[in-house]
Amino acid sequence: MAVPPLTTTAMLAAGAEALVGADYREVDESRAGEWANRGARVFENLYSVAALVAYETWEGLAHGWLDGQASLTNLISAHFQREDAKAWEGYLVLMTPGTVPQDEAVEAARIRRDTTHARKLLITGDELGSIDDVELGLLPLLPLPAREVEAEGENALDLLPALLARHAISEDAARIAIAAFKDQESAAERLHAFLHEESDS
Amino acid sequence: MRLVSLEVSGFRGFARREVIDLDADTVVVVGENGQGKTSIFDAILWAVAGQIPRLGSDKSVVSEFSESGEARVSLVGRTKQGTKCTMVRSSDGKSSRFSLQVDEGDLLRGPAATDELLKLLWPDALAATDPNQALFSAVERGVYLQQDLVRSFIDATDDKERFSTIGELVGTGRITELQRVLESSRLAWTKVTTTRENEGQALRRRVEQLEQGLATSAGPEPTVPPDPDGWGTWWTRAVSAGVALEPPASPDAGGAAGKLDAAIKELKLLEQLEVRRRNDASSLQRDLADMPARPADDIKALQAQVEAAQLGASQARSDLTSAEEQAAAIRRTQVELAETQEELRALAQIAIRHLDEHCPVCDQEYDRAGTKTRLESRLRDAPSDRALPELPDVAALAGAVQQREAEVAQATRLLNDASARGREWESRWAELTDRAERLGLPVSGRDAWPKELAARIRTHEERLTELNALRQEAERLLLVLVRSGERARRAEIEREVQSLRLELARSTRDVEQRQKTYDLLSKIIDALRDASSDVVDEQLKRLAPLLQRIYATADPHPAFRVARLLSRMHRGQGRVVASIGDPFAKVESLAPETLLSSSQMNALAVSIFLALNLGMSALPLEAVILDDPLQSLDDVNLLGLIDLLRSTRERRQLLISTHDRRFASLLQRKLRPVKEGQRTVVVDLQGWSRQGPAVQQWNVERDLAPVRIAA
Repeated sequence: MAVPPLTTTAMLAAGAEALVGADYREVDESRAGEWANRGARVFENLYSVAALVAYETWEGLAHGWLDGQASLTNLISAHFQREDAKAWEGYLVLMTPGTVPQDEAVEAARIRRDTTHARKLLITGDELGSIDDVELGLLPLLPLPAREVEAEGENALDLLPALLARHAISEDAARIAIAAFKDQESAAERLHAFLHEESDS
Repeated sequence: MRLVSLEVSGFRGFARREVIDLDADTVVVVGENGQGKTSIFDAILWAVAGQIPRLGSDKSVVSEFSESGEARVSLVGRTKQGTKCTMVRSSDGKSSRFSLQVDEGDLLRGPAATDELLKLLWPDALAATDPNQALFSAVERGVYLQQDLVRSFIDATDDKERFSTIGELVGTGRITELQRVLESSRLAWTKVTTTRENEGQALRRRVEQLEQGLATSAGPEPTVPPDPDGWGTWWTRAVSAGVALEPPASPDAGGAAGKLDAAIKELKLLEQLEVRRRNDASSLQRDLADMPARPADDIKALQAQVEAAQLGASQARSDLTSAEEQAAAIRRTQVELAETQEELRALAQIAIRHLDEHCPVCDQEYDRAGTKTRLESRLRDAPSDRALPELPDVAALAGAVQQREAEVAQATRLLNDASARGREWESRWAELTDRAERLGLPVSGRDAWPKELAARIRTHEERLTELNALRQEAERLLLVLVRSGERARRAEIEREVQSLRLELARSTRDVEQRQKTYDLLSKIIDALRDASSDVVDEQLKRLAPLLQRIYATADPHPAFRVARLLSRMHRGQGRVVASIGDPFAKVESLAPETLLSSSQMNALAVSIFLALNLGMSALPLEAVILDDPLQSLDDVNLLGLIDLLRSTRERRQLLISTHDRRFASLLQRKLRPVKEGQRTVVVDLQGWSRQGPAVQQWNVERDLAPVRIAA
């Protein structure tokens, strides 16, 4: 089955899924202001306001991103005062399935590094191997997944059973030896009981 | 452990006492360069680990303006379990002291305090060769990113040390300890197994010994057990015959064989006694028969002969003595005469020589010629012997004496011989009489002795016959009992052998099972030798997505957007290297410093540091302490990392310092509290004086209505 090409709709949907999964709430169209007619989607969490805007081509993005930034700034200004911290926490996510021409690479980098008014996150077809790569472009907005951060209570000893299994040592036996070590009991006795029960059974 | 408060005095930039509130999710320390930002973070490191290598010795931590001449830091923290820990470290530049109080418990000092701190914060360090150094390394590499050492993990540290650092962070020390404990357990197990093997060997030898014994002996022939009536009858006869033992009630009674054996011995003794008595009687009988008649020597006559001979010899000796005396007298007279004659002769010669007209004596005239003639004739003539008696024949008399003495000796000999014969006869007779008396024969009835002796000999022989018969019967009975006992014993041995075989089988099985356990334990121990590097490798694989995520968030390079830490073994040593990669060009470099700018390298270094900090399941301090490390990053990288830190504040306490007040404002905004229970504290160091900066602290206010557009 042929893989359908990435579309702006799919990209927006992927972006929305990622943000909603990161405790962002989508702003209703009625409250989105200018965004309501742009096909863009706005999200807000405790820290920031993020607007996802998708362009069919790089050219559309290059010509339209300033308007997008202005719209975002206006939306934020409508709800936050200058002295509010979130007034400065706007993220403009500019997406396009199109790729950046070589002679536009400098412009793309410049947009990416422009931190005035709002932080710009650029997601283009150059980085998109698949639809899931949309999430990679949204990393600055997303928390670290729990599975990537430390596994609670997992330490070197907890990793040992799987490692020792590579040496044809059963994980049960490894766990028994480790448990004996932690309980300050004889590992030999516990392993013996384990083997003996196994052989008896 | 989460930090709660810090009190410093005399420490680096803080000469006077200052208390810093650290009980917040985020602590932003702002101040111009040289005002003490780093001093605050160094104080935390020093309180926990007791060293700041980049400053050198403890002498460097003491403020030049300290009034006491000492540096003192008191750090209060709280563990996940809610235990309050108060660490106090002080130093006068030469020696330092450390104390620890847990909750309201006893104040520990010195090594005891250090040990307890390790147990609380970093138990894995206890297995390290230098636990304090391990704790310091964990804090330095995983918690506190020092301003001057941002890139040291990548640049200055070599592959092996990186591996060691990550190993300590992930707790490979516990693996080493596990290996050591398992080896100890295996050794103890082996000792017991060896003991069991030896016991098994002893069992085997015992079984073989018993089986050999059973094999070599054919076993007793079945015999008819002794008849109890016959048994009793025999004992009655034995007792009658003189056996002085309490008869056993039956052959089955305990000790019956022993008593029978003793009875046999007694019968033997009785037999020997009868034999002796019989022999005594026979001997006496024989000797009586051989006794000769009394000798008929006339001792008196012989004595008279001796006396006569002695008398004759005495007389002969007397005669001889007289003759010898007489002969001696005659000889003396003869000698005198000869001497006189000689004197006269001598006088004559003198006179002849000296004769002159007158006598030399009286001076008268004399007949000189006639005198001379007479004197000369005196010289010529032999003396005239007076008529002496004839000498007696002494030799003949001596011969007579010898003869008489020989006669005496002969008579005496005859007398002695006769006397000896008489005494001998008497002696023999006395002995026989004595023997007869001992045998109970009447002394007066000597003539009846032979007859009596013959009767007695017959009696003894009859008794001997009886005793012999009893003994032989007893020996037969004894053999029956012994053989019965041997059969029972053999059966017992066979049962014992069977039991021992079972026990041996159990012992063998036990040893085999123990050996299997040993093999499994050895396998685990051998596998653990590679486990440390496997764990590091595994942890790095687990860290990889996190590192990649952090690095991607920082987004330092448009092409090299993949960062990894790779572990490998080289010559038995674990090594870790940093790599960056271009996923689209499929290019990877193990020398990022050759491809990245200084700022990009800083971003990579910070990413690695944060990955290690966030990726470890346990750290001595649950904090990220960043001493102005973000200043060298580009704005986009900076914002990216701060956004990342924002998402970790629920897992790590953030302590960040900056000299840039605008950046400080950015931090306050980015890391402001947005939820109930969150707290962000700003520590503002203002001005510099010899006593230290002026410190102002305040809380960043929480946004009470953070969500407004989507609300």
